[in-house]
Amino acid sequence: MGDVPRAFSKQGAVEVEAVAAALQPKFALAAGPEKTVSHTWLDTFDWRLHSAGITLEFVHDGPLIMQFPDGGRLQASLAGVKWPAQPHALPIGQLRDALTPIAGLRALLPVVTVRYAVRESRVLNDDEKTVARLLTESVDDGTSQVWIQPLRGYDAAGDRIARLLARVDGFTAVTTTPYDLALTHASRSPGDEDKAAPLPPEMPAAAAIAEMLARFAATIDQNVPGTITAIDTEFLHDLRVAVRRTRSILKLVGDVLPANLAERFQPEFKWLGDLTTPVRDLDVYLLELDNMAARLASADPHDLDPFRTFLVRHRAAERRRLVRGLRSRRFEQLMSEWRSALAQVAADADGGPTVAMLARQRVERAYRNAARCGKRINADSPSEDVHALRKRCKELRYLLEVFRPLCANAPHRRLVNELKALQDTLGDFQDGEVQREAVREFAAVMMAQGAAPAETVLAMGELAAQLDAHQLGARAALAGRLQPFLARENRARVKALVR
Amino acid sequence: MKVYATYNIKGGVGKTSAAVNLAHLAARSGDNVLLWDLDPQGAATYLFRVRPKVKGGGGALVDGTRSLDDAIKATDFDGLDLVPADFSYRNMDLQLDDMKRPTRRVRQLLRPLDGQYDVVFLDCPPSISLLSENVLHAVDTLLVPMIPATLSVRTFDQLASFVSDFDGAQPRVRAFFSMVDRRKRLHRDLVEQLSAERPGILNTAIPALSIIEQMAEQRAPVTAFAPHSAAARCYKALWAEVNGAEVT
Repeated sequence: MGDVPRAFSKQGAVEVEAVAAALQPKFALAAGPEKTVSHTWLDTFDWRLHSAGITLEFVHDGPLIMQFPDGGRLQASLAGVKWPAQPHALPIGQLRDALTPIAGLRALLPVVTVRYAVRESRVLNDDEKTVARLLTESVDDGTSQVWIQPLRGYDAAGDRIARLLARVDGFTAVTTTPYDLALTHASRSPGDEDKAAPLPPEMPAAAAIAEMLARFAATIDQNVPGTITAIDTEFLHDLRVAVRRTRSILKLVGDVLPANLAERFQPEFKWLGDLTTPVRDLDVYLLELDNMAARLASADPHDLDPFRTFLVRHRAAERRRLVRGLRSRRFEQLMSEWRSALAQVAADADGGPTVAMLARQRVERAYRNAARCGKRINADSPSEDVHALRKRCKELRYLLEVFRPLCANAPHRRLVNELKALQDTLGDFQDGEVQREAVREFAAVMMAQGAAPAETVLAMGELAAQLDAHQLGARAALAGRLQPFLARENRARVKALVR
Repeated sequence: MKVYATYNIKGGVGKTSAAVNLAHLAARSGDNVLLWDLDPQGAATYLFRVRPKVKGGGGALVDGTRSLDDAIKATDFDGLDLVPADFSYRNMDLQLDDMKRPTRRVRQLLRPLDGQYDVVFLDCPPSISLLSENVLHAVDTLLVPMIPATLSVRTFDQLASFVSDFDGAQPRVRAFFSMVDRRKRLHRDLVEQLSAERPGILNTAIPALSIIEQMAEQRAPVTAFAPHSAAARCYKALWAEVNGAEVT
């Protein structure tokens, strides 16, 4: 795409005659009729398409159009598609293939529907061939937008048209995309979650912590509806992450909050965390099962079908329990009391330690604890010690995340990268063990219910052995990951971390 | 990505009309469609009002100096793009002959477009040449329009037998009667008799209608400028049958 701006805004209506006159004699304008259309844009809940510069849209029940930043365009029929939809529910074809890796596990949701008075005109060359579409949209506030959309292979014509239109009276070049403009009418927009208040180092620690916790509470709230309606598995995942972060912050720095706030809410957030665990565990099994089945050496992947049926049934029962919990008076009360308690802290906070002092002290302490656990680990350490290290690393990671605005960039990045590598290995170790135990328990339950044919039990046995091998691999890799993390330089790096 | 070609050794049998209308119907049903006008005469290119020019000519496409991707022009119809004809395509046989695997080059050139298009149509020049052999190796389905005459059916048999000798993947060969004049008894009889006799011949026939000739005046597919005409209905039936044949 050229550097010439291809979008203009204008106060009041766009006169077709003025546009046509500006384009002559090189181009002719075939003005289409003005009509009112509902234009719907889709994205994942966490804005993956917007981040990739992609738009996905449809008008009325027209085809689904995917537009790439380089001007490329794919379309697919919308027949039979109901929103929200997983990418695999779209018709087989190029659009689906291009969209699937970007959306990942996330469903596509209608983000915003805007009714515009639109006119689509065609710009023709002297063969009367359309070289660009000219889209005029008028919104309620009286402003109009004009977008030039050159057709593929007619980029030079697009630039030429843009230069001609720049001379039209009242036209101002703009760089917004139609999707960004539509998002000004949406209830949520990309970056809302990241628009965190700045964290000045001298801010009272209690107020700063209350603000962080309020952000996690907002994330919990945002993900509840999607979890209840089961739009995709990541709503529950993100909700759980926010709960876990809340619990860790309460544990690690909750003492700066007044009036036993931490002690009061910790048990309730533990309840919430526990409520969400079974469904998430089953989600992970179901998401991983195809991969695990594909790696079976002796058993046939289909031998695991009864296991899959069992997991699906079990998940449905657990989901009913989860939904009851999220709709309960207890949950509602927890969140409303929590929000008002945090608001009170933020309003009352005055004096006390600054957030920078707190950050320095607690990050150092968390690192010391993790390093102490790490030093005890060798090839023969019992699993409990490895799990203890994993928990300490998680705590350190959460603190590094929430205090990031207070830290020097380069050492923070370096420390987080080393920690991440270590956590991945620890995660593999833990997953291997927990999942293997769970497979054994599931097999026992299935046998008791008479739901496990011999070949399924054998396949599950092979699965457990696979997980065992995975855990052994992780343990072997652990020493290599621990070394850089425990290195003397890291201790100095942590000391100098908070500016 | 499914690749189709309209092909016949003879000219003037309705190859371009079929390619243009079927490509338009595929795009209208939501597929992302590319039509490559391989005929240096450029009839399909003319019908879509695109200039018959490819930068560097056919030689640059064949030797890879320019990618096929760069040559693509959107038509006026959503989802339907075109690689235009170029007069230099008349020398394509010589250019292909200079390549390492001269009979597989068109297939290689199409491969990178796999992520962009659901359906590709190749509109071939009337000849039997290295280019047509390339096309036979590049397609999933070869669509052969035939005028109802005993000799055309003989040519179809020769083509089917030539393709069946291919090593590895062989394209499906599907013929259909084109330019059928229902007033001629010979046409009626041949269409009836041959469709029943031969498995590769589709049931839908495209009649000789003046509205199909009007495509040159309108410079658009008949399925676009006269979507309810008898001709458009026939192309729709043909596309449905070709698609159905794909599934089986």
